Amino acid sequence: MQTRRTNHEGTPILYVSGRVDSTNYHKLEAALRSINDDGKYRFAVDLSGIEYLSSAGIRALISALKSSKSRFGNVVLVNPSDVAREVLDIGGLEHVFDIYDSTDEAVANL
Amino acid sequence: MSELTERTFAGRFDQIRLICEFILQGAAAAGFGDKARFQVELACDEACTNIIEHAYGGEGVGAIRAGWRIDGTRFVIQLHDHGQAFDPAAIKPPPMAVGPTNPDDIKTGGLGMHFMRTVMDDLDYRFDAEEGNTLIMSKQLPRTEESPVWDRALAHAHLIGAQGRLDHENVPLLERTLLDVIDGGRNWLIVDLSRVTYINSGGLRALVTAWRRVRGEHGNLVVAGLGDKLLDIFRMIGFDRVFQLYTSVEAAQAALRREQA
Repeated sequence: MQTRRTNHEGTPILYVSGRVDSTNYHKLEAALRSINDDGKYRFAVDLSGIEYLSSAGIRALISALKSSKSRFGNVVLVNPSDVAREVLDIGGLEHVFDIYDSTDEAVANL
Repeated sequence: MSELTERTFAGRFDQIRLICEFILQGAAAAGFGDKARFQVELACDEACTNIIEHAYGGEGVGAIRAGWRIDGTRFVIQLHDHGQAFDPAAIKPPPMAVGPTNPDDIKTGGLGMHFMRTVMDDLDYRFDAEEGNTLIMSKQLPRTEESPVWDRALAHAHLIGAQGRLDHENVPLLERTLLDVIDGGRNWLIVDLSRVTYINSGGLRALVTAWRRVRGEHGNLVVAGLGDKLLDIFRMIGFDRVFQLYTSVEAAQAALRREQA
């Protein structure tokens, strides 16, 4: 798994790629937490490069959503790959996260 | 039924990928495509993660014995550990799998089990004080109309087809398929026997058993495409008075549609 942080019109975007599972979800947690640590509670996570995702990665995303919402922010998901989309679907994550097809759309709605 | 192909791994997170790759060799042998192979990997990963986290309560505590086999119409995964017992029935699906959810209401845990239940067709768990925990997950093999027995959904009905000889070798497959279809909540069934050249008494019994079950659910099971030879057998034993017989699947489908109206 790799993470890369960028900015889109002042909104942090975390690009996550590769495999996210029980061996490395804590790295994803840390990357998400570091955004909150910078005082940013509204941001997007780009899942277009995800090759594999298990419930461990989903838990990291939910935990970031909870901590951001507790500070009146939000975490949205962008452009999930087919595999990420399937995992989000079977987990019912559309009931928890706003999911957008593009970064522009996500940032506009944040 | 094929033999169980088994290997033992250390109960550590970095072994899970290897365990799943081992299971995926079986999934490839079973003929699963990309999507189904991903689902098998996910189920294996979640099960092993739960074993390490919950049954053993940490890494390096005990081993995981992983195995796979192809059993009739199913690909079966078996995972064994000597950790703490658990009750899968007590693990409810997470709230977001059911409907709109406030993130604060999401507890950790349960998501992995939900994934396993969703991507696999069947999940069974056994605990034995000596043997430890055995988790058995199975997934329907991909089937084409070249298989001895196959099934697919139609509008207003579910079609079960067979070809060749329904003898001691293929009847268990027919039984299993009928059971699976009915367990899946489908009660309007068409059995297409147009490509069947022989059916033994076990095969006939399987049809009656399935017919009784769907009648009990206010559905029906009808038979389509009997050739002369099979039709003689059906008449001789009075099955033409039990089953509605149709010359084609289309005719059977139209009849079931009228029956449901």
